[in-house]
Amino acid sequence: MAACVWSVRSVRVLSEIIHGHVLPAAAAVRHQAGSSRSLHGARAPAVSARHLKQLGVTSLRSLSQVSLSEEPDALYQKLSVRVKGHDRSVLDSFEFFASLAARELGLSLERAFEPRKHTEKLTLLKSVHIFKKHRVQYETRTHHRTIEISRVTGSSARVYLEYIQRNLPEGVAMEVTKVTAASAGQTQSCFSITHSACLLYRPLLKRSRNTSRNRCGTRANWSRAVSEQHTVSAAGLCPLTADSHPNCDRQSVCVYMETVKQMHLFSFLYIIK
Amino acid sequence: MATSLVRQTKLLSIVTSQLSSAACFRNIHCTAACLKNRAARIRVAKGDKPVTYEQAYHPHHIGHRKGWLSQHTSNLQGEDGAAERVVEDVFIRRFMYGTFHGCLADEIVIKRRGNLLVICAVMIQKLLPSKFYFLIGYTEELLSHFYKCPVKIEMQTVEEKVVYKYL
Repeated sequence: MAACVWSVRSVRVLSEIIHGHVLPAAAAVRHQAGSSRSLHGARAPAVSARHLKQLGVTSLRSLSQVSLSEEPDALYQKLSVRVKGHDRSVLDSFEFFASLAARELGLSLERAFEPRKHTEKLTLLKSVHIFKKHRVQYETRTHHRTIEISRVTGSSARVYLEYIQRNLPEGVAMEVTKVTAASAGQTQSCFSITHSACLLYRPLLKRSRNTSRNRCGTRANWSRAVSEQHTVSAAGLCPLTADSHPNCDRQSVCVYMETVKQMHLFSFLYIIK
Repeated sequence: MATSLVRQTKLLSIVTSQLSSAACFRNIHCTAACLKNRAARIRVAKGDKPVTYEQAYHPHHIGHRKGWLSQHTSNLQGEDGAAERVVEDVFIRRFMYGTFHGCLADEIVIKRRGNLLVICAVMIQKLLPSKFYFLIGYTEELLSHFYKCPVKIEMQTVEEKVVYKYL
């Protein structure tokens, strides 16, 4: 019980540190996209020495080694953590711990569910020699639990996963699946959404029959004339649009732009191979 | 096992002799000797044999009334390395049984957390605490050099062996 309380306190301290230091790049992007999440900027969080000692940090110098780099942070659409174990109650308590940690760190926990258990059965001969009719059966049960966290940046995903993995109980295995969105602020070869930050959007009602539709084959509405007129400008990844199409993969590089009905200017897509 | 087989063959011979006299040449298997499981079970006897909780419950109670003595991930679906872990476990159990001879109250629990190997043991207070500390340090050092991973021993001492029931 005391350990549980300690871990909650340490998670709170961790979250203060994260929001203060570790997410500056993502913070800029999110501000641009008009996210509602409150960010503290670059000021140092008020962390007491007692908290630091609890976390095992002996001096503030080690904390200040968290550097702010210019390169953009990776963005993950979905972080899926799947744990396997033989004991269902152990997985229950781990799910409680992981969801509590996600809630305290401010990550959006999408869902936590239990996939079907897997049973491996062996039917072996009971006796060393002969007696074929008498067998013995063994079974090995593997229970699973999946926790899905959506719309998380690379830094916070790394911190959360490290915290979770350090506290993994014995006899429990973990698999992590990350579904990426493109990193913010760059036009990559896989796909990116490019639009000017100040452009407004207009709903495009008709589907235009263009040859480049064969390349992407999405259900997006877009117009070739529009795409030719407007140039690529400063890119900012709008996390909302990344979410709306989780099916985008590297080959078909079409991105659907969310359009707002009352706006009058254009949004467009760039198809990049 | 041998006595039951001897009994079985005697019974069979009696039956076959009776049947052959009646001009019937079928063999009958009528004993249930092979149907009984004998793994990890202490058979019920007079009532003077003390037995711990671990020994009292049979293997089909694992997961329901018993826990696991060796906790690692290699027996899960999609994981490998089970054979190596089994060999390591057997060696560790024999090593601990020999190093702390006569001091073990119950079976050793082996836990693996990542690289770390944790050996949990309950001991009877047979030796002086200083001797226990020496043996713990010796075991940790030797096993960590042998298995190339950090080894920790978590020990608890008990005045005498905890008896669950008498069989």
